[in-house]
Amino acid sequence: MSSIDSDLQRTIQLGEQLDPATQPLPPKRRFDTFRKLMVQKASLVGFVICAVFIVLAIFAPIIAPYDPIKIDPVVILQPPSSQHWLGTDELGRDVLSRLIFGARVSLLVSIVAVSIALVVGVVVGMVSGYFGGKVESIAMRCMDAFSAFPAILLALAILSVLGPGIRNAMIAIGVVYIPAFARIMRGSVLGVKQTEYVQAARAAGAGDLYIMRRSIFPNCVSPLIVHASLAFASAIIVEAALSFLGLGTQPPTPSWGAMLNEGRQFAIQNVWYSISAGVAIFLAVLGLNLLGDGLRDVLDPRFRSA
Amino acid sequence: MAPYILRRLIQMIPVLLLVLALVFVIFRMIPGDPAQLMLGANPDPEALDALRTKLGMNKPLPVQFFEWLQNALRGDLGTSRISDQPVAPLLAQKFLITLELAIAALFIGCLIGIPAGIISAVRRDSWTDFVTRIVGLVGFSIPNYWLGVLIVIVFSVRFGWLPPAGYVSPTEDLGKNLRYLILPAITMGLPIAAEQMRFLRASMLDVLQQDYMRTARAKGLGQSTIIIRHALKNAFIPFLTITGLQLGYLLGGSVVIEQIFSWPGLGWLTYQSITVRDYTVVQGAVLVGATVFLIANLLVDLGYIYLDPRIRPK
Repeated sequence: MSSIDSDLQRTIQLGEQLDPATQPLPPKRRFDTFRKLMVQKASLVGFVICAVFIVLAIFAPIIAPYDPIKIDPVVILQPPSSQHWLGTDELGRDVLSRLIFGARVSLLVSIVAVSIALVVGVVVGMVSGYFGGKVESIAMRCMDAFSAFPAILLALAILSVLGPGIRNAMIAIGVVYIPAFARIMRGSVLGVKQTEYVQAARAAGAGDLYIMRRSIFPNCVSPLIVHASLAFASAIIVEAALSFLGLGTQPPTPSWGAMLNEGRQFAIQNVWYSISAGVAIFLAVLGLNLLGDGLRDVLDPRFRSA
Repeated sequence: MAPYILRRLIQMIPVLLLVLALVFVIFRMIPGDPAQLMLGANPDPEALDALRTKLGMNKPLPVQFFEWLQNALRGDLGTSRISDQPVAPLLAQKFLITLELAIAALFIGCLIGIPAGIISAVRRDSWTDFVTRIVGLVGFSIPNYWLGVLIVIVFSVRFGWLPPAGYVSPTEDLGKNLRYLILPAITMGLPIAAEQMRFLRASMLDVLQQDYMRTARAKGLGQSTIIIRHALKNAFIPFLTITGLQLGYLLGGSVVIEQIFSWPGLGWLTYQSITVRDYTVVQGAVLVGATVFLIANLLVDLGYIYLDPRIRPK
């Protein structure tokens, strides 16, 4: 690093210290946030539910009692028993094992979809908020156009073009959530770019990219984290809806949405088939909503009193 | 008021044009050739060429867009490949069916959500508040399609009280129409009630802490007058935002519920058209869904003006 660069670094660091409230969280404060989150009972319940689903998804091959795609014609549509705790489906596959492996699909789709939305949304929001003018006007009007579509309808339109499948479902869901992240990022950038430390960095000769990356972005992370946790919940619902319609995850890969759809046709023979898939979706969404609400309370002071 | 409405309508035009452009781009992104996709594998070359000419696909892309735009603005959204019917009247007919379901669902949502939200806020930290919040959180997290499946299992499969799926036009038999309407309307209405309850509770709590509420109490107004005349009217502004969005979603995005209950509205038509690759219909349905969503947002803005004189244009 040249001496000019190190001077710039020192000046920007000095500028950042002008407003300690907007600084990126140091490790100790990050731990404080986690501690505050865990003090709230609702957030703790949400965290535990999410942790259970993550463990199930990661260790599915070890935890699941049966192969989720192994067909067994001898035990078709069995009610719950000691061998099959949640019974079996129309092809004799163990419902519990399919449910556990389904957690993998839901988790994977929501992580990839939200990541797509987060990356694109952050870039669009950062560039439009930072540069303003025509760039902002064009970018935000495009986001308005995307927001004019109900989420499931836009996802369906994209999937009807790209074709059904898990990869395309991830892309479709990701595209749907871009405008929300872009708006949140732009809103944060508009506030942060007026702060003294950003002006100090600019005065010291820092480039736009450097300011955006080092001075602005770290101070816009909190609302993004809160929205991401709620977007995960929404992505799980949309993925399951697409799989329910047969446009998301394709058989024989286990998916909660597809199980829900298949199970409702055999509600008389094994009612737990459909109910258990719905309970899984509900619990995962509930856990993420509780965690999201808790994160909002901790990270956004406006919601602390509500 | 009229100039404000006009200004808002003018502001909607660029967004609507972008929506049109977006719909056009999405459906031109079909890998390969849409005409070939419509006709399936190994199509007859003459039929393929005829379909391309019919769809105007031999022309340059900008020309195709402006022709499509002109037709769309005139209300001509093309012809369905499957039924060979003009798409616009088909969508109008399906939209009315969806509108009936959306209004019924919103009615159920408001019927439960508004009183629950008010009671929960007024009796903050009581048992009523606790139970209402738990029920609200559960309702907010339940995917409505699962709720639909559960409702069908309980009320149709187990008890046989109501038909599990189907539709009868109200002009044909109003009684039967209502019997078919109840289950999908409840399925869509309950999560709406939960969301409304959460929003109304939060905004009521905010309003109840304001100084003018203390003044209203100090001058001896009754509890019901304070709640209805002072608190509710102010708390309704954020509530209106969420209700407008919900109406937009109900009208444009009730695909799964319409599918579960075989309710032949816009969402049902969209899904059926996707499965048979009738892209002209899908394109039209997506466009209608987005336009309705924009109009719902406009109505919300106009609602703000009615509720809050401070933002009324001078």
